[in-house]
Amino acid sequence: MEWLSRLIALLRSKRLETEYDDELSFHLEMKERDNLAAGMTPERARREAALHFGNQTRVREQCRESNGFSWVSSLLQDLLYGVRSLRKDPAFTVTALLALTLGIGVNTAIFTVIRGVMLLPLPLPKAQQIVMIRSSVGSWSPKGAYELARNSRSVESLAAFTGGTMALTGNAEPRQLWSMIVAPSFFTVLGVKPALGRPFTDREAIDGSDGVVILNDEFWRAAFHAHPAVIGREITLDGRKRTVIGVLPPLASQPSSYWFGRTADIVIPAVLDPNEDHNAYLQVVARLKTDFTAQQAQAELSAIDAEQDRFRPANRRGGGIHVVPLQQAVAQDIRTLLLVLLGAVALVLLIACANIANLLLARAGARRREMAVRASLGASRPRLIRQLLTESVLLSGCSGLLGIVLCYWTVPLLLRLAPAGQIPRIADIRVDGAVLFFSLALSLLTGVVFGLAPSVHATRMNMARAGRSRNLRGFLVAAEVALTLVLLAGAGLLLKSFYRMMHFPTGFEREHILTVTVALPDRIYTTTVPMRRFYESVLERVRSLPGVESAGMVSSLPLGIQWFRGDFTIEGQRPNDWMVGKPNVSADYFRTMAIPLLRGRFFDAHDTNTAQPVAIITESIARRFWGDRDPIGSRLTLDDPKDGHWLSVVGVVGDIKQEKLASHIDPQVYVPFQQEQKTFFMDVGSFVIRTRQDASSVAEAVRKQIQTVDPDLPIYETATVQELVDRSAASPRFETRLLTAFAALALVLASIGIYGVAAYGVSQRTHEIGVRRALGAGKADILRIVMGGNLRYVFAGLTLGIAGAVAVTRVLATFLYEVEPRDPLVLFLAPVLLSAIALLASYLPARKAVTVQPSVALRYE
Amino acid sequence: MAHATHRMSRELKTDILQGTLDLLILKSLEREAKHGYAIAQTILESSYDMLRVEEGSLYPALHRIQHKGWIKAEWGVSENNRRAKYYKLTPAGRKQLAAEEENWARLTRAVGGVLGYA
Repeated sequence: MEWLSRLIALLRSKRLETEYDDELSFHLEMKERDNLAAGMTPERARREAALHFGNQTRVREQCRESNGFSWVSSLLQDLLYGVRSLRKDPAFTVTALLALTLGIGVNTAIFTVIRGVMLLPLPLPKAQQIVMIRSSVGSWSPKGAYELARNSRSVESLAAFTGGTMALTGNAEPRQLWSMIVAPSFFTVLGVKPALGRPFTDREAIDGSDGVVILNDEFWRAAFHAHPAVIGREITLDGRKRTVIGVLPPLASQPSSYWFGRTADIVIPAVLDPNEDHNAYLQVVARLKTDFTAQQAQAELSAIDAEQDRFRPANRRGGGIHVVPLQQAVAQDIRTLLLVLLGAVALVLLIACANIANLLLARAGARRREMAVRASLGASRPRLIRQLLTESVLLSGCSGLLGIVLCYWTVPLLLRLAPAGQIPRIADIRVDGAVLFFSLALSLLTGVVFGLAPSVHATRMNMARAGRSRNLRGFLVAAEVALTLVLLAGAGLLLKSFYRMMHFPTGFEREHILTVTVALPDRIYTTTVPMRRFYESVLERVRSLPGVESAGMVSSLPLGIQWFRGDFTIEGQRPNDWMVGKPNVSADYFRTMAIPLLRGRFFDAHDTNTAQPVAIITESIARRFWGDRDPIGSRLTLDDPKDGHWLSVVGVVGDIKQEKLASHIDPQVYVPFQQEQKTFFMDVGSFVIRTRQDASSVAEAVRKQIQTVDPDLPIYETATVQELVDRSAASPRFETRLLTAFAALALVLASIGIYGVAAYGVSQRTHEIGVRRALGAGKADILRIVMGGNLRYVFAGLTLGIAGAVAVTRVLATFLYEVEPRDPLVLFLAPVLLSAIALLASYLPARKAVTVQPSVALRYE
Repeated sequence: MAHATHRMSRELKTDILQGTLDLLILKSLEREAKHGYAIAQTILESSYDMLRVEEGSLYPALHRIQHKGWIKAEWGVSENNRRAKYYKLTPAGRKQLAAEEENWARLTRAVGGVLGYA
């Protein structure tokens, strides 16, 4: 009942206020009357009564507080007061809102992404039981996968799978489809059922004879207009007819993107030979029994693995098995980047907080009179602090709301800036209730963090202790500078790394070269003979196209989609531990790409499949294994030396970046494609075409020539070499851009902060400066005095920041190319840049102080 | 440690005082409804000018007790023809007064016992 009466009091608060007044003035009147009766003069009677009563406002305030819910009404009051006071100072309000909105906005945006990518459970039933099991080499052979399933007690079901491309033909244009090749248990493991039709049967995976395919939702919609009658239809894939038996639900389109960075169009059953142990090309996903955790499964499988280790050949021992929850595995590649970004935006927000705390402190000085008046009118100190905190939280709360609005714009922008496939689970990234809650909680916390010290300070009536304000403000400047320096150093490292990466020679020409990649279906191109014939006839036709200078072929395009590496053995030497690339190329490949010949000769028309097998090595291999001696004429093998397939070295060419721009040098052994023995190394091929004009101008003509040679073969990809370079630079560019943007934001905030403190300091000391000027101090002296105090804190911050940067930039190590995390140049330039900006930010207000006439300054008080 | 003890004893003191003030107010309203000034006067006079209730404590206490449902307030006309707020005991207030009087009696008996007056 008590709360009800309090609630009523709250609702009637307006009337209650007047009732307090009436009641208290009645009391005063009565007292005055009694005083009169006691013989006082009317004037004295009134004064005594008032004096005795004491502070009326405080009594009223206490009455109000005894009315319980008063905090609600006083909160409303404070909010209104806050709005009014913020409107009175638009410059401050806009600066603070802007800084906080950016700070909270970027934090909310990064949180939104992290939540979708890392925190939300995968949209699969009992997703926490699903794990990836990785072998020591990262992938499994069919035999290895079967044994794993047979031996483990913790695994409920397990599925091996891999990905690939297939050619869809039969309609107008052949089309390249992304496919997942899965064991039938795949759907059981993930807990996904086809929305239409049925999953694969075990029989379909044993002999593959039934020729079936399941479509993905997106592909079904795009290619079959979501027609349900698609079940039972036949489509031609890689020249073979397959019956559509099912369509996956929309949700299931995501799992393939977990592993391949893109959605697969179709799913086909994997036909696995349980005894095949030579090729490890499968990934394994498993569902654990409900009473097993990933750690327990890890322990069990490690024990089994250690036992089997003894029976393995020496070079395959001791790799170990890794059990990783699927949710974690999906986010593995981007985890570090997201955490670094989260750290960076947290720093930005802290800087914004320090900045606004500083501005509030400056305001506190100006508002001390207001506070004193309110205190003398009866407001208690906690009440005043509460009011100032309400103002701060009002500010941060508005910024939080604006930050969410900002999120609707920044999150999609972030996802668009990110290179395709880099951010997994994009469908799970959304701004929703939880994000809203995060943002509001963060802004509340922010408001208290930056508001508490200034409000405690502003309500401190003892002027003797007010001097501490300068210390506090100095400390805030130092903190701001230190945090900014850490961000600047991080951004500097990434910028330097990016610059180095882009300027380190790739080893090949970038201009005027078009690349066209195809994947030959191994059902149609069953041996190397038709493959060779295909490449030869396309090359011949392309060479004679107008505008084409030269054309070559390579099995793994530099910065392209695939690159095979393996070991090699030099005749007469023990096996070495180098891993080299093994591309096969046409004779004109090097000339077309402008890869220089350093010794010996290029391949030529005589290097046919019947001629003596030859190889060309890159400079790094020659230098490492031959030193000053001439490698020409030496023999090496890319296979088991026992097989006796020796290749004669006929040439040495320059090194190139083969895998990615962030590679240093990728050593390679080239062989002529005419002599390649295995279809495995030949079924993907790229034509490189040097043109006289714009490289993309011949794209259509080249496509037509390929169509003429094989009308059923889709083009895998067409790109200029420059486009390949840009694509390979996309991830580092994305990381560098983001961190640089955050560092720039921090720099702007910090310079505003330093400027604010300096300007305030000058305004406080105008009188003192006037006196000094009048007493003969020169401009230089004044500058020194005015700027000195400020800069002392800046330099303290710089020192702290360098220490912080040295401690923290290690987290960037994985993103850096040929730059150490403690790069001296960066650790020197970042503080220099920051000092320059700090100097400027404190010089501008100081210059104003110097130009002030002594007479004006003295009159200023 | 010493600091904590000190704080506790202070809280205890105000608790007793507040409870006592409530008792005094309720008692002064036992026979008739009164306005705030009269309540203060009654307490002052019947305590032989010993207990002067400050306005700063009186009015907050009145509002507090009112919310507890022990007294209710009505606007009336005072002896000098002014609008004044009159407080009067509710049945619950009467019960509370009886209970508190009983408590007080027990307390003074106990203190008396300790001091050897019993």
